[in-house]
Amino acid sequence: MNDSLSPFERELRGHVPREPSPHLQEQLAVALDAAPGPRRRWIGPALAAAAALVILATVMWPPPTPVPRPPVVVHPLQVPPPNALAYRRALAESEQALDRLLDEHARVLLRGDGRMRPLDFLKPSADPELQGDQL
Amino acid sequence: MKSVLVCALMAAVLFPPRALAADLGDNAALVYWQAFASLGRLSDAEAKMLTKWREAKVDAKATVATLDRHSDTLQLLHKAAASEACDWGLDTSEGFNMLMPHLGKARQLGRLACLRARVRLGEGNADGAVADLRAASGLALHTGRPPMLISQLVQLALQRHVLEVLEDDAHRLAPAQRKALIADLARWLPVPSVVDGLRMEKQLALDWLPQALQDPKIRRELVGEASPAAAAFIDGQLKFLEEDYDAIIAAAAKSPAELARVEAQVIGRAKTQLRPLTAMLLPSVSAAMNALEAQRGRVQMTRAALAYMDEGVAALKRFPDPIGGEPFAIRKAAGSFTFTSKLTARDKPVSMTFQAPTK
Repeated sequence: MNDSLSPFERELRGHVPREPSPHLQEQLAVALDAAPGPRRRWIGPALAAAAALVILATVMWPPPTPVPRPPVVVHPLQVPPPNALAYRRALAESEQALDRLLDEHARVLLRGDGRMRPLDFLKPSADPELQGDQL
Repeated sequence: MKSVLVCALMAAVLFPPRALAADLGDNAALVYWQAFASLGRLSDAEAKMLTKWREAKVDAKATVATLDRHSDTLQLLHKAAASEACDWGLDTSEGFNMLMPHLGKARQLGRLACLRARVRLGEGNADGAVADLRAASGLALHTGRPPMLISQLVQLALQRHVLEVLEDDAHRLAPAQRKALIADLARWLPVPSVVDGLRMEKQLALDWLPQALQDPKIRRELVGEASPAAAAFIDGQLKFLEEDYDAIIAAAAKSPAELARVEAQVIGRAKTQLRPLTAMLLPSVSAAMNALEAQRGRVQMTRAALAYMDEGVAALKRFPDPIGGEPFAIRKAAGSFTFTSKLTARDKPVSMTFQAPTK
């Protein structure tokens, strides 16, 4: 920078802003304290509106309740009991049908609940005790 | 003196001779049921492995683990199969409602034994394998008692598994073991008689049905919803059934061809003339007889193959084809040979392919 000031610069330097008077300062302080600021004027209504919206949304759109799982479709025991009639009927169908029935019996027997159903095996059981059987 | 005799008589009644108790304890069925309980409920993977036992990889970890887990079961099987007496305690008074829960389990147990025989043959333990095969054979013979058609077919299925092991692996046995097995297989002949099976079924049906058909539920089940409860109708149905059983039994005693002819006639008539009991209880006898006949061929063929492995073609004359009495037709291939019988099963000639032993 150049230290030698031009006359114009010297003139500008002479224009120092005047200190505000104590009265002005006092008036400003009073005015600022009394008037609500522009921010405070909108925050309150905004918060209220947001709360109202939340309440409205909660009422109109309740949180999704867990979708109940479809009830497990429990088939009653479909396998006929291991009796002579069931085997004879399976054989009447085919040797393969007899094989399948014997395999199925081997799979489900001796599981500890001793369930072997009587002759009416073709009808669905109304016995709730049998509802646990799912093959 | 009199009082001494009375006391002795009472003692005999109250305390039966030890021999009787020993007979009851010697019942193989009691030990088989322990084996079934020990086998328990198999996992799906194990059940599948046993169903496809012939295809299971003998050196797979799962196979070895399954066999290890069931070693006690197989020990019980060996014990039971060695017994002569076997009474499954079936309640024949239940007629066709008679429960036969041992049949399915016996099949699983027999397959387990055959699977281990395969594994043992793969490991070079031929003695162990032969013991397993003998145990499976014993179980098969016991399963065929009493001789109901169904029991006979399960016996056949179990015996067939043993024959399948021999078909695949008899070449791994020592000549002395093959010779012993030829003698063992002779015990399988003659194969169960379909006539015996039918006679027992007929007796079971005719003893049970007159009483059972009084129950409306059973009547609906066996002779249909619309059937009248009138005694005359039931008597008539029972008479038809007896007549049809007799016709089928007489035909089965003559020949498989005669049985097929009469069966078609009887079943056709049952459908057109409202004979529901016959239509339900008598079909497929012909198929069962064919299966039994085919088994006769397979047993003889396996004996011929075991002899052929050590003695060559000369041995074949000793084990001729049950049909025609000539040696089985033989076709050789690299490392194997195939025997074919004149017997047919499902319209195809019965044949078996054996691996040739390495010299």
